[in-house]
Amino acid sequence: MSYSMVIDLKRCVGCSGCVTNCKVSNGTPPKMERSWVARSLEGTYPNARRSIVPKLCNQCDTPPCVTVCPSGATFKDDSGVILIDKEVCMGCQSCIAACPYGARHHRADSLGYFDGELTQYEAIAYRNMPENTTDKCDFCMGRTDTGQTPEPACVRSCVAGARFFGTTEEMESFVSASGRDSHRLLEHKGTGPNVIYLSDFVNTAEA
Amino acid sequence: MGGKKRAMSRRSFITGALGTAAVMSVAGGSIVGCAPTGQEGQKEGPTGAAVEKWVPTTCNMCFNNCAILVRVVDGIAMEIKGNPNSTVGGGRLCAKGASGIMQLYDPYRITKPLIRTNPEKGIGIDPGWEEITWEEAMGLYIGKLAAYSAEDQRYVAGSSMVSNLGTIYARAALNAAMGGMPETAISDICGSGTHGNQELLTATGNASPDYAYCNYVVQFGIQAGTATRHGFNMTAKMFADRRAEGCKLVNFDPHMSAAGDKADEWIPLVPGTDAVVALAMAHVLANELGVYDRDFLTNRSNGPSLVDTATGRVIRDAGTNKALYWDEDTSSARPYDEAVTPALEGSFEVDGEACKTAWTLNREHLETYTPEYAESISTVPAASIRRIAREFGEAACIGQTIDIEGYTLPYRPVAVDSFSGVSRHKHSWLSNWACLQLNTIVGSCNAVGGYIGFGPKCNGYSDTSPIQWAPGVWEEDGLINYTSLISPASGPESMYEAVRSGISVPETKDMLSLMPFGMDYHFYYINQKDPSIFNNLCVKSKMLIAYGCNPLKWWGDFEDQEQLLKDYEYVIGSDLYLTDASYYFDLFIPEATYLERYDVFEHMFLAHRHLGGLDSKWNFLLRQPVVEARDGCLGNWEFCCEAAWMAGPESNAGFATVLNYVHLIMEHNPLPTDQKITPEMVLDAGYKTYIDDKHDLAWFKENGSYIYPRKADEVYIWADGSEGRVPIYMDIMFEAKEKVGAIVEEYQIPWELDDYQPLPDWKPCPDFEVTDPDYTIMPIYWTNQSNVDTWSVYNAYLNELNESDPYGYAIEVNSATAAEKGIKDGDAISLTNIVGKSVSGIAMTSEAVHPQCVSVIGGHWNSRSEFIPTGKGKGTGIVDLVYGSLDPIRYDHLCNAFDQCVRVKLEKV
Repeated sequence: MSYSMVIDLKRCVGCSGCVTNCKVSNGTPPKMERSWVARSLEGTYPNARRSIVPKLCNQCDTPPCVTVCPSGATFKDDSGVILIDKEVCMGCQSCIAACPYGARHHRADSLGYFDGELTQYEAIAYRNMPENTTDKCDFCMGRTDTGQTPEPACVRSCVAGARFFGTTEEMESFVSASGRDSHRLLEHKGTGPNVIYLSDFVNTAEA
Repeated sequence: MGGKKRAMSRRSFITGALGTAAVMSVAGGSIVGCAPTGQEGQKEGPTGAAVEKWVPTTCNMCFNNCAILVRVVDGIAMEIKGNPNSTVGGGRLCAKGASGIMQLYDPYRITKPLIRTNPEKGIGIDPGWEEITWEEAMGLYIGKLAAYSAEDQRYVAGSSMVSNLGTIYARAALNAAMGGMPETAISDICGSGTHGNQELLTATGNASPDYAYCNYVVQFGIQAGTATRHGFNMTAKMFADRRAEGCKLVNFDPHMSAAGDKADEWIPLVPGTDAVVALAMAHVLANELGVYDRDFLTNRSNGPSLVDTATGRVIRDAGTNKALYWDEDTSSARPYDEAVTPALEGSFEVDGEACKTAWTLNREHLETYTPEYAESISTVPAASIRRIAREFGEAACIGQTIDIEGYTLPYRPVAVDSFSGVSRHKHSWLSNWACLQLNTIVGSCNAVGGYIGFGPKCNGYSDTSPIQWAPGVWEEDGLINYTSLISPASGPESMYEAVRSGISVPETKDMLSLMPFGMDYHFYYINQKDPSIFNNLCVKSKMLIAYGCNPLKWWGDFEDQEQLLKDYEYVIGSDLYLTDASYYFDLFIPEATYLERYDVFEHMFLAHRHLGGLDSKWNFLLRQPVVEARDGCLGNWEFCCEAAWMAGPESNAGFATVLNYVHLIMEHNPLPTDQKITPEMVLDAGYKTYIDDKHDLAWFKENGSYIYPRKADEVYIWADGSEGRVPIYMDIMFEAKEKVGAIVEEYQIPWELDDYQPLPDWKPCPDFEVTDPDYTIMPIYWTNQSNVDTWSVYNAYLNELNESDPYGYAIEVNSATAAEKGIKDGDAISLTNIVGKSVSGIAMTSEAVHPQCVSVIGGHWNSRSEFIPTGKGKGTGIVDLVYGSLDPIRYDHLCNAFDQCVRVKLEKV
């Protein structure tokens, strides 16, 4: 059994709610985003079109980060989610270089968002973010001690209802039933990504 | 005029109120994630379950106040999520809401009252703040208020924003108890012109597409459902679902903002020209295609009204003054409610006078607005206008019905929506009317899938609730009245009645007594600068109470506002932070954050921020403290209650009495007048009154959210056959113009009357007259989802989002325009207006902005306060370029809107 996530790019409004909800729920320090939103523009004025793609770790079937990790800190658990044992992580950043999705961040220091001491929230929240370690999305598996994933914070909070989460089998059935075009990022690299995007489309008046 | 007192009517109380303006329990929500905890050494896991709680409360990172649950571990808030047991947010939480944790623990927040020791005021000049006790702060507050009010109530002014509407009632009650009803200096420029038109069309001052059923949405100057507007966190999913199911979104906007990002068609246009495009669409529908809802226009609009072609006035029954329609059954003119088969169109003769129906006149009026003419003004191709109009008309399904809850209702799954982008111009009323009348033409007003009000009607919040409201009608024309944005349960209001009996010589600086269609208060500022501009009918205020706002950054030239702030003898500011404006405060009263305090009924009767539609249930919530307030900082409700008690028995009794009155609890659960009031007492009395005794404060502390179904006849106001029409022709404008004109002539008040007209037009903004070829660029601002109606740059998470966006703090320049001027990404550029004022910033080129515009997010940025390092110097404050911010020429004299359209010179530095 493994988990997958579906992100509907038609529904997504690019609001970055996933970014800050992830931050507050997982306690990620400055400049460390397990979830982020990529924007680009195609075409020229006045016919330009925006592309908005929320991104996160793809929990690859063949994760290059696991392959390159010299300490074994990065590993794939029974549910297919890639986890990091931060007591083992040496902060070498090999995994960051190997990840084609830019999904990993290095915690270079122990600073918080404000000058001076950490806030009361940060002092507790960043205990899982030790200095000189790497961090990434774990589908919020790290937020429960039972080993069963809860609904990830980005899915739970999504104001547009654009995210869906479940077993890979459930998600693939969901995508199939939608009748929509779908794609995964950088599939040609052979990573086997488990984040599936329902492609954006343009409605016409006849729809 | 010293010592003058004014009687407090319901309306004056509300407008005045606008100007003044750790108990924990286990939530109903489940614990879904538990790390990080407060357990030393624990990386994850709920091993300390006994000290871990999810507390229900409401967000206040913007004015929507969504229902949230906060995970508290050992007294520290560790996580925020939406409360799924509420329809206000539906368990979802936006970027701002999640960022509340950064506000709660922000070390730059002020938590102790401060008093200035340096009398010299100005940005960057250290006020020499010294801490004082809360008792000292309360003593100063009530002492100054009482002293100035005793001389003349108008010496005191109050300003606030809409983010905390519930608190204005506490402020107003305290002010009233101290003998004062401050003049309203509220700045809000959001919806002048929009709210009023929505009241006329949907019976309440906020409206939206009926997303659950809508198939085609056209937006002018609005990003509702994708980024902004009241209830964004409620609309986003509803609209996303419909868009995924095929609903087409067309977004007219000079900049491809968040709505343009998601639109199926983004159509850029010159700022301030929305109306000419909308009128051209109306022309195409009415005159080129003949696509309009004849049944709706005949039976639910005043289109059949017979208009004297010589005078433009509606012909009326001599006895009842009711509008006459041509009854085809009897071939005679009869009162509208007696005409059996009214004629929608045609020319007739009544008592020897030539007349036409209002709809016929409207169609003739629209002949001017060809798509080619609109293209010459707006740059929108005529072919696009024709195509969008045709699509809109075809999607309207004119003639179709749908059955809901046993009612057979009109099904018109199209809506035109407008808001800030149309409102922040002169001629705002006419422009919003031009846009929104498209809904009338195709019959989508108050129809399933069409354009519906947020809360136009309520049958009660429970089986026994005494709270009910309905708009009623203006009998002379059968037109719907409306329910109040703020307190609909207090009874319907009528713009027609306001014209008939509410126009009077202005005594307060807002001049609203000359603006029966007005809502905001911008004229206050002109009078505060120089009362002689309006013939000294008003007096300058000497004291300002600024609550939860930054009056330095209101809506135009920042220096104008600085000068006004400097002119007051005494300024009290109340806020979380020491913003730019605090450099002009004499007394600073901090406020506990929304996670540390009680507030009372932030969703006051739900009408302002509670979306319309069957899926949006009646929902009462509670804001309660989830953690102890830092340094024992008080919330504003607590402050007002304590201050009223300190002021003495008479003042406290007055305070309690006003609260009883405005919260409608006097009859059922009145507050005692001889005891110190607490916000908990008001909440308990209100809940028991509005719902029932079972749902008291204790119930809400435990459960947080009460939901009661909203029924079809509450959403679709004519479902039960109620009478009511919407205006397609505003005969009342003649009466208003005559009455206002008489007063301004008698009192020699310079006043513009040109916009009092029965049909909408497009008219140019003042800076459209600028012809200097160097000044061709119009700066515009927009807001994305994480920056709208919130602390944006002051918040660590939100600032980080902006800094990670290359356009976050930059000035966006059209690529072709930039190339012409040799500007590249990262270049320093300046914008200079025609009076020589400049702002500067960093350019980022883009294909997503009109060539005649440059664009920024949040035009009020570039904070200069040393006290908030997070936000200092971030972004470009282009609003500073809006020169003449206190010149009446920039003001819409009909509805109080303010024109932010300026032309500037763009240069590479």
